[in-house]
Amino acid sequence: MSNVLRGFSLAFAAFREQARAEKAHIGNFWFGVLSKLIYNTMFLLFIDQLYARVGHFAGYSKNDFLFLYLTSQLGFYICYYGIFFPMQRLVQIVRNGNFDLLLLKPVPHRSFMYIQGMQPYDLIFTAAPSVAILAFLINWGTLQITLGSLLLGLVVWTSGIVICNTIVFVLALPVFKTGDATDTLSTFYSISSIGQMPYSHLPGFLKIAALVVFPQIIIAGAASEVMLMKADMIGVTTLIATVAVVSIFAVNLLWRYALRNYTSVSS
Amino acid sequence: MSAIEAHNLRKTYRSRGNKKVLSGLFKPDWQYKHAVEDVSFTIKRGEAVAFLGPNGAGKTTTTKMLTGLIYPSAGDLHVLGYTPFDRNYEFLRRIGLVMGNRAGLNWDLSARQSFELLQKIYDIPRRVFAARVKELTELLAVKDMLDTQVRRLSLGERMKLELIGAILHDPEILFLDEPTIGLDIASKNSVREFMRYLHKKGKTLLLTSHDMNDIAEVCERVIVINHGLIMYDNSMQTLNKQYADIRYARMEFSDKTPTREFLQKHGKVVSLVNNTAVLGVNKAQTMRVASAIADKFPLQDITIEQVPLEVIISDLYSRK
Repeated sequence: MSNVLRGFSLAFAAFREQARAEKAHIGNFWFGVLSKLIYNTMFLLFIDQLYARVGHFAGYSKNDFLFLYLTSQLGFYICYYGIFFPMQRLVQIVRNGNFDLLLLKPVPHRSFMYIQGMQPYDLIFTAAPSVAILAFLINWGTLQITLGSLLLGLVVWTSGIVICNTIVFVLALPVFKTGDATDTLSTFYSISSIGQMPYSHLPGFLKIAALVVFPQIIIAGAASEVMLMKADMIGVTTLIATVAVVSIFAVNLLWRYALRNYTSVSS
Repeated sequence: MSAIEAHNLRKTYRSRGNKKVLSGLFKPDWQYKHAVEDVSFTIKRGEAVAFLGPNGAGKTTTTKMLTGLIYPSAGDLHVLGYTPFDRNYEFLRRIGLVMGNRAGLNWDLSARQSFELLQKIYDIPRRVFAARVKELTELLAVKDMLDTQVRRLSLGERMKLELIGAILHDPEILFLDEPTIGLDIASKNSVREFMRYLHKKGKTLLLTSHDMNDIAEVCERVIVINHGLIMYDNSMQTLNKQYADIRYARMEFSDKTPTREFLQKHGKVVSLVNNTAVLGVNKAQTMRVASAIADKFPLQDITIEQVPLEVIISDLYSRK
């Protein structure tokens, strides 16, 4: 129990430090919030214009599509702020040698690295307005969601996040061997936009690729389809959850391998 | 009781010899380089030891193995009874590392804010933490800088605060890698004084530095490593004794300057630049040599000094 409390207290302290660092450059911070809000507004205007011309798109009504976009946005913020940023920081600190200082601290190194790399303040202030606007625009009463589909959808969504974490970690891994992974890692960001594609309408090879290359499709497309009962719920959930469990083992092994091969930059 | 026990430590790195993109994949032609070949030593608790060597000698690799940052390829290693690369939390609480070219403090925050995180990480009780921060910042004269954003501090102030951050948890062993690099004389002196203070408090210090004044003022024992092997391991006193019979005569000539060949007849020419020569001579013969030279080449000034530590260490580096 005391370990759990210590863990929480430590996580809170690390979050607080991060939030303080984010607030140190407040002008930069608010421009970041503004730019993401503008992006979302533009995308919503695009959806509005698209559905003004076509009633349905790939089997999705406008309301369904807004729900898909909401799921995608929630996944994006978690992946971007909770996974991508920490990995970006990992690459940076391995390159400049500050990873040494992390390894010397009596903390669970991997969890601590994630917490230190997140930007909690930015996450809350950037995600909240976009998510709130989307949630307000969706007509929740007309969505075909049951408790069962919602739970299975959440399993798919969480599995997508887990797979995403493994993929991003694999992209960051070369830094331990070759000393850089900046560009390898940025490929993840450049393929994020694929998340808004309806899962069941993808060709078979892309569905498979989603499990190992484009997890954003799972987080957004597959999860919302399962929730809206537009796909084989049990089949999709089982497949994706299995891959997620395997990927947890894979990422643990890879982390151990990375530490074993860590050479630490010369000083 | 020993703080560090290293037996036959070795670290070998593997790199691809065949750099060609395609054929290198199939025929990599692995090359092996021993960064540390065979290093054994024991350090007692409370000792202040200088760990020296030229660039690429293997001292940083050894320090990194001692702190558990990298795995040794072979050998036995125990630090405070722990195997460092197990990264046991208890072990990590008992060691500290200061690296002159690494930033442990968050640049966007004040040092106090970074220290608050360290307090949580090391579970330091609030009162103890407050007392320790007060004591250490007063000792290093950086109390007024505690609430300044780290990026706005001078290098010296930052280094002092980094040092405080590294010992806030009161470690038993402190590994110091170039702690005075880039500092001005006043800051160097202050950091050295602080290292002496830590040593007096019974801390074990392992200091790596290219600044021989750091070594001379803080350490009582010297380990010299080169080509991944230990070249020398003895007390500072013994090291100095080996050169006790030699003196350096620094002569500034007023009129004509003698040739190198002439000076070589009287001793070892250490340097000859413009009208100044430094001659290594036997201590007992210093005055005789000086007067013999001055007879032919009038002197403007002469200084007799002990062999500088840089020269002694550099001699050790060049030993095969």
